[in-house]
Amino acid sequence: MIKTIIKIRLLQLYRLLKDIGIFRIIFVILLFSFILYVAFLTIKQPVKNPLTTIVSAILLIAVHAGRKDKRFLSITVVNPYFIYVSEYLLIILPLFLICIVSFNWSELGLLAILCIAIPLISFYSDFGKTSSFLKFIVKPFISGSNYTINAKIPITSAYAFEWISGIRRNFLFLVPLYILLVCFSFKPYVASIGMIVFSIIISGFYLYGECREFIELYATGTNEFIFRKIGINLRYLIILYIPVTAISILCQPSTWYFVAGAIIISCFIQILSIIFKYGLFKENSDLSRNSMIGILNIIFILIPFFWPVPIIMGIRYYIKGQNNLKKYFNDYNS
Amino acid sequence: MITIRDLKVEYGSYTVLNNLNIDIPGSAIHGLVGLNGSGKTTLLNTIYGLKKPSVGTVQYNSEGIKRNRIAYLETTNYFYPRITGNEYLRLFNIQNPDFDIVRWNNLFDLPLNKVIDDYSTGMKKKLALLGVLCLNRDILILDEPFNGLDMETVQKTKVLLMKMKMDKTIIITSHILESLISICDSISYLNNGKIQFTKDRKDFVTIEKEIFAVHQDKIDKQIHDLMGSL
Repeated sequence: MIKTIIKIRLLQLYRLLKDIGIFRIIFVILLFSFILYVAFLTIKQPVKNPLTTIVSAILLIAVHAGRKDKRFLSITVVNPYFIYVSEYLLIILPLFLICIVSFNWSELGLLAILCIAIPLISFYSDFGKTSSFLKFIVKPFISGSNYTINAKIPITSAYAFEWISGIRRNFLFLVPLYILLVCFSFKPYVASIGMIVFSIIISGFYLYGECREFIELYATGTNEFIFRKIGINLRYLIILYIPVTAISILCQPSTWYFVAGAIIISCFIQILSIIFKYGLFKENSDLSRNSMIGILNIIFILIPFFWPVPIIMGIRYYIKGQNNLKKYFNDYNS
Repeated sequence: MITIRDLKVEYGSYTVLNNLNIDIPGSAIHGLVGLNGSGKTTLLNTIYGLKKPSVGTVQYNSEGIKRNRIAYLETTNYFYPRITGNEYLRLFNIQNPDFDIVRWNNLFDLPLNKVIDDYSTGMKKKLALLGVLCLNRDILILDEPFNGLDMETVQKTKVLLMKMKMDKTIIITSHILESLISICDSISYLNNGKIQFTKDRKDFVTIEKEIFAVHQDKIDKQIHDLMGSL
């Protein structure tokens, strides 16, 4: 059974790589090589550095807490624990190899313990809430429905459904964070950094493809649709930033240009997130699997040297978005 | 009246509808029945203008159909996560501000202040139907509208559609012939990408027999093969 499951996983990985295209495969390989290189440098250090173990633990806990096949496996397999262990060993395999090459046996042992211990979290006990909490910590931008509440969101525009849904999904995380941001905006640079962080979090609101009706009712053409979407969502972002900006400029007038820069970067992050959403659009589906390219571009916005990359990618994905939305506005019988 | 002439619709090299001709009368409810994969949804998507026909025309009152004259309820309905029923309907309400959501909801009794994720399958169907009705358009296309609805809601929907048909052209598909017979003014049977026949209300008595006759030989052979192998 373990062999079959591993085969299925490898097949899924193969299909995933096949789907994402050659450009993104190269990017994934480069990113993966870079991560392994950092891991190698950390593991081979003579002084003990817990970074690899901590990152691996977070990764495995996130995978284990987020997997949706637990119920399926518990019904179909006599003892799914060994399947979990073998899968996690497979995920950690590159790090095992690095440990062996670096003769770091203690790290190897710790990683093995992680693979053995983490599947126990929800296997022998009902840790449903705990695992969801961990998922919430690890994936705050796209946290699961266990953390959503039926809060009444004071947004009156029906067009801002992404904001309504996003705030509701991340309510327990976003609201305290926003209150903290407003409260500490009088301190230098807090407002600027906070606004950029907030903007990155809000970009997670656009990780779900809406249904056909919502697109057709939004606008009458692709350009009108994208510009309207950007306009409406930027309006809410600006409203959110007014108190933070006001407090910061009143208390730290000499740093106004940092605040202005943060607002511009935040708006740019929002515009790109919306453009990438429709560039990678699929109706009624979770687009977070396609969000890697968006996240990368957000990182590039934060480094001035790389600014041409998000601009060029933004134009490319805008055109892709136009093509993706065409079918909703092309009326073949009129 | 919707007039479809010589319609051919393909998915790549696979032809779903071929040389399809049909007249769908106005101020009436027209039923569309057919086997799984017979092309019902493709036909509806083509009427709606979502799917481009390779050949043929679809016209409404001798003119091309503009999509904004059609309200289309698809078989499966999707909703944006973590929005309430009210927030969902508000977007439809912008198109038709005269539609009183609260008054209309008295018919379906949906908890509109709850997030849709907590709705049952039937409640989601009712909400999607309410959205489509809210648009109040000339043509109403309902693909399997009774799926997942309880008996009471099916009855209410049927009565409602009968009342609404006066100033609309309504097209309904279903796998269940009985549910169409009770409300439709005419029913077409779609088979192998073509309209096999269209029957008016007066001929509904024989429709089941005729549909069965189309497949009689095939069914007999399959049953015979199965029983023979047992």
